[in-house]
Amino acid sequence: MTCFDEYFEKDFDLENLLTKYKPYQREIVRSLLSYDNIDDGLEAYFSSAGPMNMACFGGDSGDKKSYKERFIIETRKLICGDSGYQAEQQKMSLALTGGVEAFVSYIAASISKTLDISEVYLIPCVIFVIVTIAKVGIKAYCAGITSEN
Amino acid sequence: MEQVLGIMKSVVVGRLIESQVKMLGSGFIITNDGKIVTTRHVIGDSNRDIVAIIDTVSALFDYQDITNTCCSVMPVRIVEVDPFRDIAILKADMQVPGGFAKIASLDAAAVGSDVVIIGYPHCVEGRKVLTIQRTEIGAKIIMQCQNIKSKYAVLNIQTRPGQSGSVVFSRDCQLILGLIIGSFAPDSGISLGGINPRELNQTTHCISAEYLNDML
Repeated sequence: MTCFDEYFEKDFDLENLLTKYKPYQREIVRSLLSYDNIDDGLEAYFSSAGPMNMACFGGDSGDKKSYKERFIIETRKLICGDSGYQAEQQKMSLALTGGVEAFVSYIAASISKTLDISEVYLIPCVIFVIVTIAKVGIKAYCAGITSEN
Repeated sequence: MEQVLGIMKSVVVGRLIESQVKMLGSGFIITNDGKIVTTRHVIGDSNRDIVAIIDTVSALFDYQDITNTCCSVMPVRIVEVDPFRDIAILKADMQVPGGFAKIASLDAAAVGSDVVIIGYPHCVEGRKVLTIQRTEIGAKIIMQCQNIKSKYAVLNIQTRPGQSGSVVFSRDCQLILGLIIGSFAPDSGISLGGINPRELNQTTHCISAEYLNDML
């Protein structure tokens, strides 16, 4: 386990955290929280491309299909103490002293480099993951990492 | 008309690939500190080598020399993105002089009102021509992505690849009313030269510009 165990055992104030973000981000996070589990919420987020049946003119399609799986794996590695993220975990501990917002930003920035996607795109998902951890506990959240590795 | 449109500053959004710009779609500058509005699907999700080619409104009223393929590009990065509404805000490190049109809801315009679309049709095919199209709002609709509902307008005009991210502007009210997102086109299972024939209907959809206010 990591140094974050104790932190996540404290009371977690979602509404206070959401005040740090823009209205559209708050709306997205609340939408994600309406899903029954983390997998469904992340699937909804990473598969979203506006309303259905719209032909989008122009653009850069990227490799969106694998975002969800890669995000889940990399986030768990980072938060749950994978040796590949040792340097980041130390910095993450420092980020926590700056509050949850700094913690969210640090996780999003770290994962965004690995996935080559913008940090701001990951912010709602990271908040969603942190809220989930606050609900289920970090031990339960990290329990799946061995099988995924 | 030039005076009315002088407050619009359109851009082509693209990605640098081996010193060449792959043009991806349209956009427009919205703040003096260089924030640019486009659609999320235009830019994708990576910040790598995104650039904007900035035009002035005067280009719209001059002959545009499309034989000149050189251009100046400005590096930009994604600073806000809403995948549910397909909107992205980019930021260029520059100061943009002048004023900007106000952002408004589609509520401000009645069905049947005249609007203009300003953008770059066919830029994804390597042709950069700043173009204005006049049309009217054919309907106002509510659409949903996941469990978030949003306001849209159906515009009575066909648009083509490259126009996503174009501004929808009311000359009468001098308001930014919307952002072109695409055309209604359920999958037909047929592709003619890469085009789903259902894209060729004579309407276009824009999302209400009011959602930009929550992102700026």
